[in-house]
Amino acid sequence: MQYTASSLSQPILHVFRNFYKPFLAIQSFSYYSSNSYVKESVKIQISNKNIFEDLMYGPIIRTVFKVYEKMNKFQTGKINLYLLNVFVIIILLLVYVRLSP
Amino acid sequence: MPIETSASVSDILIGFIQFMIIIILAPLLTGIMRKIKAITQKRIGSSIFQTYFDILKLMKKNEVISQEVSWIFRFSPWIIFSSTLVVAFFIPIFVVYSPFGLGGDIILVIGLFGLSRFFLMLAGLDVSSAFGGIGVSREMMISSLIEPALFLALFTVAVTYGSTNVEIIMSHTAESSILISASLLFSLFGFFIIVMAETGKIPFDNPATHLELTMVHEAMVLEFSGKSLALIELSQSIKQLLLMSLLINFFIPWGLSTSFSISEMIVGLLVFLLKMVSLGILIAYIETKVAKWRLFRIPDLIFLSLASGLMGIIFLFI
Repeated sequence: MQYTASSLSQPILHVFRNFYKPFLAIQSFSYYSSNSYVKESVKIQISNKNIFEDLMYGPIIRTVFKVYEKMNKFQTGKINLYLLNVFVIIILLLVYVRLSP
Repeated sequence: MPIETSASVSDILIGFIQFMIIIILAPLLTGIMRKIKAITQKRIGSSIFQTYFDILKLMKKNEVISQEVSWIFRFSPWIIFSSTLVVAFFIPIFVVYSPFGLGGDIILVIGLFGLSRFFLMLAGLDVSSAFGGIGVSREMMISSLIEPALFLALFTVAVTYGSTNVEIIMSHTAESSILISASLLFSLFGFFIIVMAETGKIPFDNPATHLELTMVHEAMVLEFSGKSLALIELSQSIKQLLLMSLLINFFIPWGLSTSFSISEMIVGLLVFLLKMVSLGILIAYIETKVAKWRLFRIPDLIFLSLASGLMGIIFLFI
């Protein structure tokens, strides 16, 4: 007989249940609808929310992806457009250096 | 401070004598606490030397080991015993000198207690019995909640006296005149609850129970027998004595000897014995007054100790 990981850690998860927000759903299927004591199968679902993923890492990663989507318009694959890019930025830099005090 | 950077032979000998006194006194303290519990329950109880007889009897018996164990089960009593003995070298009890002295501090002591508890939990799981799993999961919950409370209570003391080295803290407390500040009182309250939790007293854990509903430590050591069980029981007694001597020498230090003169050391030893027996009687009386708490009420008590330690640290800076 062994102790599984979820049963070994159950006391700690119960102590911090306000952070982990455990979700328990039990569904039992019986053979006859008139007699619910003789069960065919029982389905148990247990899950804990992953608070660091959902509240901290998740929004940061989503924001980074949104910014990168917008920056993706520069990546066209045509060399001529890249050279035009370099040309425009050098002109703008020279104008900036000339006009700064 | 009586700590010399070059230790002479007599100093090392005194440190070694202190270490032997710790090992010899530890079962006596357990016996006294059991006798007090028996007297308050209107029983006669066994004699105060019964723990010595139990350990000697267990040393002579053969061991019965399950077939499914690995090296962890056979090694862990020795690891637990040796790490507890190393802690006994670090904590002075009646003279402010420990042989390993500047080699480590209070954080190392907590780490060594954590090491012994880790191997005890592994050995409890190694036997692959249901009792071991029960004990380990409850012990994991309690001990992982105890650690921050223990650190806060001890850091209050360390910041008050300016160092985390046990010897230096005790040399400062031995020279102070009164129990100074509100922060130390909060820290004392928190540390007292932690001592009762770490040594497995009621309301946290019943050390004399036979019911799996109330077992935390007993369930982990259920499979040990013979010499291993004797080692584990002796380690438990020594750990209890060490934690209580930390409490006594940090918070009630008057009478602690600060020099190596024979008269002061004998006075220090007698005062320490008196304080140890009084604290043991107090803890045994508290154990008789309360019942074991339901398992998921225990974190409330530990959070109370954590809050008290936090108040202690806050009052240092107000």
